[in-house]
Amino acid sequence: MELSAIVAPNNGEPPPACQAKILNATNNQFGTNYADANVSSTFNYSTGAPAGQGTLNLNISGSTAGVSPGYYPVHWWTYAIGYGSTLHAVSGPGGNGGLDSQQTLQFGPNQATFHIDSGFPYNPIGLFFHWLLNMTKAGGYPQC
Amino acid sequence: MLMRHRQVSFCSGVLSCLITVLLVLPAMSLSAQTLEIKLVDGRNGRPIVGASAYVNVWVGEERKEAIAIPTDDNGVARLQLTLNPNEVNIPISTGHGTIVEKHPVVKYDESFRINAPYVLCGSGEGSHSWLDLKNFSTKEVLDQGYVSANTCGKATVSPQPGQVVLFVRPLTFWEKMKQ
Repeated sequence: MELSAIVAPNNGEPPPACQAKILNATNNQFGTNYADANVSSTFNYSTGAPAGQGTLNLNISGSTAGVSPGYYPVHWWTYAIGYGSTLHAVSGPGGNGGLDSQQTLQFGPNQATFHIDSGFPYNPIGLFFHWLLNMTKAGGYPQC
Repeated sequence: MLMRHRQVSFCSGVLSCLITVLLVLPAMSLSAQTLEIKLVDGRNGRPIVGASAYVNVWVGEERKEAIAIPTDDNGVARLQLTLNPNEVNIPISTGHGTIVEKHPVVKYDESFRINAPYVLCGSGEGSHSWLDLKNFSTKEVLDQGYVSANTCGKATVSPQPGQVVLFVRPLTFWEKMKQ
């Protein structure tokens, strides 16, 4: 069987680049020094997406000192217009006032899950893009 | 004297054969073990099926990437464990976040983890992390099976050796928005 037949479909940007993008966004935001070695496991998940498709989640093993769960736009203008890559440091089940993922690790001193959404959900327009791009087929379930 | 020597020789030969068989049989049984992971809707007892029905599995620490196994019409995802490296049908690493395979064959390991795109019916339900289910003991599952708690409904299932039954439910609208 060819490798191309068994790996997850590529939804746009190549997944290895997505991993680097998530790690870079995390390190830039929090001053951490996460590398590939800190990635303990990975999986794709978006609501309604078929197996292997959806947002790439990185489960990180390492100190989370200085990291605060929440949404962090990668570019300043995403705060204003809502649309754009937004790092999501997931607090895990029950966290963030109950407004966080049930599919990820519980945020802790030595573990966390990170992914990049397509919109800043605290902006109404961003919430719309987050829904449209990350949670519907129309958005193509981008990995990052 | 010769007869006695032959008898001793025969007995030791039989003993050697028996020991060999006893040693080889467990290895043979391990060489083709299949784990079944069944997703059941805890509200009504029906299997979880559909294009987006699958489970993510990590067997041991060999791969960082999840192995995504779609469920069949009975809500079952199957994973074959082997001791023979030539039978393994997925690579160690692809650089992708997930490896999709309907019939994965992977190296046997003492533990495995499961994650799926649903809410687990059980203690804490809505505030439960799937990854809390990590480190299933492969041997225990193969020997006894595992059935998760069900607080979503009245459906029950008895554990079967080699089978993990997970009672789940789809996410609500607001739970989807949290992702």
